Amino acid sequence: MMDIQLASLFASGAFIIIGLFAAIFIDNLIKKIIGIAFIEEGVNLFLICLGFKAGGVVPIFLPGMTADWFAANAAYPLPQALVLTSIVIGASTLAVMLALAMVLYRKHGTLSVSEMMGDEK
Amino acid sequence: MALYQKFLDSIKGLKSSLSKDPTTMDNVSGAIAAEFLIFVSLILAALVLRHVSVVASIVVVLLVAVLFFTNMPLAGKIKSEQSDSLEKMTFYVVIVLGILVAVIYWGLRYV
Amino acid sequence: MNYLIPLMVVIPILAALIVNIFGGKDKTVKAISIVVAIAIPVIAIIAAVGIQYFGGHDPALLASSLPSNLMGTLVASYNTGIVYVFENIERIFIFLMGIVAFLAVLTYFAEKKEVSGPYLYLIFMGIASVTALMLSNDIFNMYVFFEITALTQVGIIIASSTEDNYEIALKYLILGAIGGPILLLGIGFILGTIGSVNINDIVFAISNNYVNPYAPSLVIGFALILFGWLYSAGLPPFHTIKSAVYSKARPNGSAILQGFSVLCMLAFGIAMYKIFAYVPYFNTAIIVFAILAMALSIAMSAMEVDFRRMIAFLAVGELGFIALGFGIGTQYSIAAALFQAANEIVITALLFIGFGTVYYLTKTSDTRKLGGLIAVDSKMAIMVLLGGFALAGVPPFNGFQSKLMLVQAALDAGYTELAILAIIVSVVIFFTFVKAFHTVYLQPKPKDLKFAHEKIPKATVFSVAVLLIICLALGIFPNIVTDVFIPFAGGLI
Repeated sequence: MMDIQLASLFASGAFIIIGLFAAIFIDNLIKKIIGIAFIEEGVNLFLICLGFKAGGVVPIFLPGMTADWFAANAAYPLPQALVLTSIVIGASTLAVMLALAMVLYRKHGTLSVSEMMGDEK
Repeated sequence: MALYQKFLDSIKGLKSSLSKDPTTMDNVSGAIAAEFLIFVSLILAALVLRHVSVVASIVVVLLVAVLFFTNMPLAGKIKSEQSDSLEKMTFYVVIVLGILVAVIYWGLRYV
Repeated sequence: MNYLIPLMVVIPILAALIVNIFGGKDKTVKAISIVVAIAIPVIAIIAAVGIQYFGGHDPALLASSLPSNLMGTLVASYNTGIVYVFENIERIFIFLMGIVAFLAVLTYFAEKKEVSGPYLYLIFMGIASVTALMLSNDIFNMYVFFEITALTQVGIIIASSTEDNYEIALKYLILGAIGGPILLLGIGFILGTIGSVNINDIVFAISNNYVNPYAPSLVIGFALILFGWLYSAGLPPFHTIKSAVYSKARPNGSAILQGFSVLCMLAFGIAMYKIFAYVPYFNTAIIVFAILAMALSIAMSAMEVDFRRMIAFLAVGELGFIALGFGIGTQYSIAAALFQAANEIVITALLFIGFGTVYYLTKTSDTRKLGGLIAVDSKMAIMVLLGGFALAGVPPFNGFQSKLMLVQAALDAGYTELAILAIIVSVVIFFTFVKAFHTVYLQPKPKDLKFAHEKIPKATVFSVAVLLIICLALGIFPNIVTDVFIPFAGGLI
């Protein structure tokens, strides 16, 4: 049984590598964008792993907790706050990319990046 | 003199290598300037190596000079490698990412 | 409490939202935009130097009220919120960016009868985010505002309705979607090692040996953040896409876009310098990319026949000089790099707006189809020529002062080769610029050249004149800014 944190770190690495692979090698624009979303999600997963604490509690200070106990047992809240922001940014980038994909599909009638961009091979 | 003649020939060859777009004289002068700039900056960048090792910098400068003169003209090749093609741009971006991480990570482990 | 510091970010964001709401009403939109665009540099001038702790947290007060087992540990000194630091260096750059934005907005109003709310929204949002980027002392906050800047840059290209702008915007987004998350990953590695994203905390933890400075996670974090810096600045391998981005926007948009890039580069460059300057070969890594940027971009610009693309490559090549100053890494060279950055914001904006008038008049940017435009407006032609001199480093303009400073710094540091390279690159910049100037303005006018507009708007001439005056003022009295930059650079080392 692998440690959850270690497994998640491996998963985030796999996400990033799969995403980079897709961004380089896949010609279909929508698939390329999905690959790029993978990179973002991989990084988010990596960030959220950093705050993980085995057996920890949610970092909300409730009545009845002492400060010392809370400091020793709560998960680290900063990465969670950061990931929320990062997800929002990722979503807006994704939205702009998909909108551009739509516009370009209407303009060129194809989703192949190499045809669309008119790149000489 | 043969090397000098070869250099002149290659500059003349630049015009034909740019023949894809209908060139004016201005364009050729730009290509020649670019060619000189690339040569000079290659040599000077190789010279910066003298801060690490003088012998290495001599070898690299000579190597660069020889490689440059055997591969002239470079300007056209460099221009075609830096076109707006997404494939080329992504390729170089990922290559640089890989080199940076590899060199900095393994380089600093053995400092 | 110094409320003007957060207001520098809040006012442009508010203006962006209001301008977007009043989209259809031209007069209201124009009035609001002009007022806000004047307000930004004015606030930058009058605001007092200070530090803003968001959420009212004050590290000194918090440290005394911590649980007993945390007293005196590393965590006790950490900031618990976002911190904005406003010093004279930020004042200079925000002021210059504000002036450039004001003049660009003015030019936009003069050249377009119907103003577009979304376009102005993007401009103000971009200004707000680069201002926050300069002020923020928190690398994650910087990343967030940097991504917003990148999105507004894409938006400005999309809104520019030039040929192939959608394709370039998508390419920039795709490359940005590799560069941005990699930067965030680097920040994540630092957060995982140190537990804070505040630059002061990170520097404190590293310099007091709370963490191993050569821990693999920190080293990887450095590599990834360096890569993100290349993306934010548009240094190689991102120089092609960055120059394409500049050349696809409207001239006033390009003027603002290059300012954004310079500020992003500076903000991340300074942050990297503060955190990672102890890493061996830190300077070498930056010098390598500086040389690449100068050689490749200027060589490309010399071969270019489209003058907008040519100036775009020149702008990216000039970034190489800034990187070179950072790379040499002495107090004087960093000050020279900062001075060069301040100059570049002004000069490149001048050239984009000035040469943009050619595009405005003829609707073409291909130098092979142009000629004889000095007959249309000789005043503008001379101002553009002087702007080109400033770019190439001809006295008495500001470009001369900063390049002289950079070359001297390189010589003092023992990098004679780099000094020679900087001079040679300047010569090629001069050659490229004069060639373009000659083909556009001086050579005989082609018979088939048609004009879309007869005259250049007065507001455009005014904008270029103001920028030229700033160039001249900084060239004759460089002490105005170097007195700030040199002590700041001394504090960095």
